[in-house]
Amino acid sequence: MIEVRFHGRGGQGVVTAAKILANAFVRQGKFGSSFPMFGFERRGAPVTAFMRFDEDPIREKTQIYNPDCLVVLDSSQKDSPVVYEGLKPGGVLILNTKEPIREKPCKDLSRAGLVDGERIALEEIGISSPNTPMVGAFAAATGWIPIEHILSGLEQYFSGDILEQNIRCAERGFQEVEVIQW
Amino acid sequence: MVEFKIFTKNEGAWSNADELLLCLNTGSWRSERPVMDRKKCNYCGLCALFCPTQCMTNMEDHFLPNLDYCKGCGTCAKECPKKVIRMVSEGEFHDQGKA
Amino acid sequence: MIKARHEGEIRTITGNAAAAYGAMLCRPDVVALYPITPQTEVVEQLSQFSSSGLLDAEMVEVEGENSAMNIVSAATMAGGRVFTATSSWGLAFMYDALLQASGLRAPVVMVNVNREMPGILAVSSGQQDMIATRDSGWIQIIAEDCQEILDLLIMAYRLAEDFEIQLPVMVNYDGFYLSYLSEGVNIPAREDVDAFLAPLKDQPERPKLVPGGPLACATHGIGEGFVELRYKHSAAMERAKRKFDQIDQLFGDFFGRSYGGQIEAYRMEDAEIALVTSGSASGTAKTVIDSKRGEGIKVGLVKLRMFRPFPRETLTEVLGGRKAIGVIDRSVCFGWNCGPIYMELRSLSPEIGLVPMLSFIDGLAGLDITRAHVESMIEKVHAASQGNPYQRVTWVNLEG
Repeated sequence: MIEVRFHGRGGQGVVTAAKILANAFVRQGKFGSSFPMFGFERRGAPVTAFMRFDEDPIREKTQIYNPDCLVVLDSSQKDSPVVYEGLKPGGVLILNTKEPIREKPCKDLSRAGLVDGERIALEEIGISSPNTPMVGAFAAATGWIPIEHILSGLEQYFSGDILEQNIRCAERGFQEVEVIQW
Repeated sequence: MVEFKIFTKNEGAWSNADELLLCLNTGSWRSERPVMDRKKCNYCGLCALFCPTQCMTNMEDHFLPNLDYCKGCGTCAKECPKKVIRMVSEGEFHDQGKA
Repeated sequence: MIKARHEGEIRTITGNAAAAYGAMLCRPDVVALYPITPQTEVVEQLSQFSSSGLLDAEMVEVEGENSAMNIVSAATMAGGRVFTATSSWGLAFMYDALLQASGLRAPVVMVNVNREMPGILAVSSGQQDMIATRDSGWIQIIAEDCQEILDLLIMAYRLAEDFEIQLPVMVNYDGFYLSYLSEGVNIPAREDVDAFLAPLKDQPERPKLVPGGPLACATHGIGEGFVELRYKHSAAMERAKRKFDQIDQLFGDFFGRSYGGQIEAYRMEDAEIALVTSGSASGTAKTVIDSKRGEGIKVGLVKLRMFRPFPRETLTEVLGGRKAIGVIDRSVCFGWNCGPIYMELRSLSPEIGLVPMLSFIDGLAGLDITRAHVESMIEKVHAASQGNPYQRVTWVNLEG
């Protein structure tokens, strides 16, 4: 079982990103589950989401304390110790960022996927929610899920023009992500 | 052994605003901040009175928001009778949310 | 009618959406809608089903939960099938109507998304709301995951409207940990749900309110008349236990998913010690039990699915002969300084055997019942089973 933890702020699409990925694994025939934890229900307040996927049914309903992978939608949190708490050695970071990083933000990281999700979203949709570019970047940087399952599942969360725009966002995130191996 | 870490004194859920106010750094939640035009300010104090987080600092002849706590709600800008306060997007600033 | 005709469609949906699907598939006639965190998505999804034509019901947007319960109770007394959903404060607000519904023997089905009750304002999970209404005379059942939420709703209608039962049913599931949890859920085909509920139509007809008709209901109860009605209510609750087992069996035969009825016994065959849990924590506990079994500790799990009526016979049977028992409560029993489910289980001590029983109060205020917590609980129960002194009540969130 792989455990992924998402960090961001209310309004960035953290919860939807986790759902999109859980859905992709379900569509693939595996088991996926996700849920959010937030304190104050408002834009700008910190949001965490948890996602698990496995070949077998997932019975744990707890928060994730030792993630294999972190997806950070808010670039300002990239150096926050809270984000990296409990990360398993050899962990992966998927980060929404405008700037490159060369130094490992955390010693337990072995790989990172960097993408300017906000810019992609602004260009494709006109709003700065980086979530769909990030799920595309996740697929490319981890190799854990073929992008097709993500793209075909997006219709559950978006419709009409917004669906097409988000499909493009996920595809661009998949293509434009910069993968660093440490 | 049960240990009380939060409510060590009182039985019920009491809190002292003098001691505990401004305890959670909500400044990072903000997407726009109040900008004061000091020349127009007449020091009436209405912004400080209305501020929901009570983060207005008294600067002797004007008020300034404490950006560690200001959530950018815009109530001060709305209430100011002299229209001293403008709400400006955080994207216009490059000081990591501090003044 | 032996098996469902269709496979069902798997969709990744939240617990709240699963509840909405379950209700929609059962074709209620009247739905009372009022939002409250963490249930709001249920009524939003139902509104969407209504506007898209999937749900053909009278959608009543009430001004408060008290009205919601009054409206749905009245609708059932007129022969309709109903649905509503609430949580904590909303459940408290409808309290008198809640009691009325069961006294009227109205087969109302509702969802209660577990959240901490008034007293200390919290927008977080906890089972105190179910506990605070345990004496309302309702049947109360609890789900562990999103699939079970949907399936329990279908079973709830079959149970509530059974002529031998005629009692309202409250389907409980954890706020936040289940309400907002997205998982793959098999959504049965409409015609299969229709077929599963069809036997209800073959029953003798219940009396119902008809404008201009002579029948009235719920007038003043006096003396022995009052006592007779109370007795019948109590007897119906007793019958609900076996009935729930039967319905679960039928559901398993029909849809291929069975849950064990009043309780689920996990690895209890040769268990020396047992953990009793309910709700989402049961899933977590099962994974810890598997790992503790790997260490040689003969521990099993009893998942409480039916809380009211309390499955005393089934629990006595499955827990009898064990050396120690731990009970996880996501709530507090005021006045007894322990968990409520623990306290009720203690009353079975003479039948189960006078063995160490440990109460663990955990997961209040949205705090997580972690694997580490459950490991520690099993270790404490194990130590008690070996004759070591033990602490009767542990407030896990304050003691670790």
